[in-house]
Amino acid sequence: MSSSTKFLTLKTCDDKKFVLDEAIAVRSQTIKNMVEDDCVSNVIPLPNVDSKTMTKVIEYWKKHSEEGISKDMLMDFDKAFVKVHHSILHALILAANFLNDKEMLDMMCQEVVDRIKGKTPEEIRKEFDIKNDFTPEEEEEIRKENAWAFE
Amino acid sequence: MTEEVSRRTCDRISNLPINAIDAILTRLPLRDAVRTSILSRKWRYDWAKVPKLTLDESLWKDVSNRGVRVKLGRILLHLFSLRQGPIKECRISILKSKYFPEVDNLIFFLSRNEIEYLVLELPKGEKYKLPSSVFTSSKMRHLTLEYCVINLPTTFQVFGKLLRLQLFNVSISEKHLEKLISRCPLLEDMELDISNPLNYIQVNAPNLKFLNFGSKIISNTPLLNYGG
Repeated sequence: MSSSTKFLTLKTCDDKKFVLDEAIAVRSQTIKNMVEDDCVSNVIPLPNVDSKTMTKVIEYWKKHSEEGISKDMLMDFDKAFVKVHHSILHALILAANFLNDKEMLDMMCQEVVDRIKGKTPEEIRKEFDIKNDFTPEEEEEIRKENAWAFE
Repeated sequence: MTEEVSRRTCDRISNLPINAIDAILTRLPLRDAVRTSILSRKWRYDWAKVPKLTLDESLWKDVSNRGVRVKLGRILLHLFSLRQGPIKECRISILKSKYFPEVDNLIFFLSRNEIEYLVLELPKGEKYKLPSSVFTSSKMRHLTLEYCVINLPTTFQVFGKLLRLQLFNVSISEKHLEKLISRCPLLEDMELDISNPLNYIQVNAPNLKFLNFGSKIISNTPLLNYGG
């Protein structure tokens, strides 16, 4: 094991700085590429991520990098981690997408799926604050167009 | 405070980047994915552009054996008229009923829509005669077939990109199996469970790394050339 742990400084769009062990930060393929291409100076700017979201991302990365943590413990952690308001879920998906952390992106998308599956359109709109912008006539047309799925 | 409230009640999910919307829609069962069309204008046709299609048991679970064919026909007509863009991955799983000419139409449709990954799981009993259109899919990378009869069309040239071939309970003659394998030059992974007896076949697959031939497993063999 290397005696000197390397640290990276990440700067979010609201100018907050996070100092993080490089071994953890490279869970982000985006950061990993920057490190490998040697284009890391002192501070890595993350123009698409705010500090509130980055705090959550780092919480996830640290938990998933803990040595000796059991699969069950990680599953419990993940389960609790995704139980957030949809605005935070949205921010985490954007962050995971920008940071290119496929594992995290998949998990967050799966959570959206679980909140849609088996629900009525009205329930889904309520869950995600989606505004129904169809006229009743259009809605009728869509039900006809996709009849088998609405029976 | 008001900013916080508006932040929390604003619809953000609808404005996710397309790859995230795709990731969500591909994970939904087809019925749920189609039903997102009614959420709002933004969602209306998103489901139709997803490059992955799964027709599985969730669609037939409440339908009688006889009703499966009718329902499959309706779903296919719907897909053929509304789908947009390539379908790169498709899994078809119909374990309930017997003979489906509709599946021929679907495979023809897929072969014209850049299919790369095809899994076909069919019921036991009388085997399904694989339509020749499947062999025109030049982008095929993964092919899994179950309970089928394969008769290679004379026009079959090559599966130039196929990496993985799985044949379970498939009937195919020795000659056609040899020809099929030798025309998959990049093949790396092959599992064969052929239901008719085979005496002798020559496997010409320079890139094969994994072979499961019934109970015998050989792996990491850079060149497998039996009987050559």
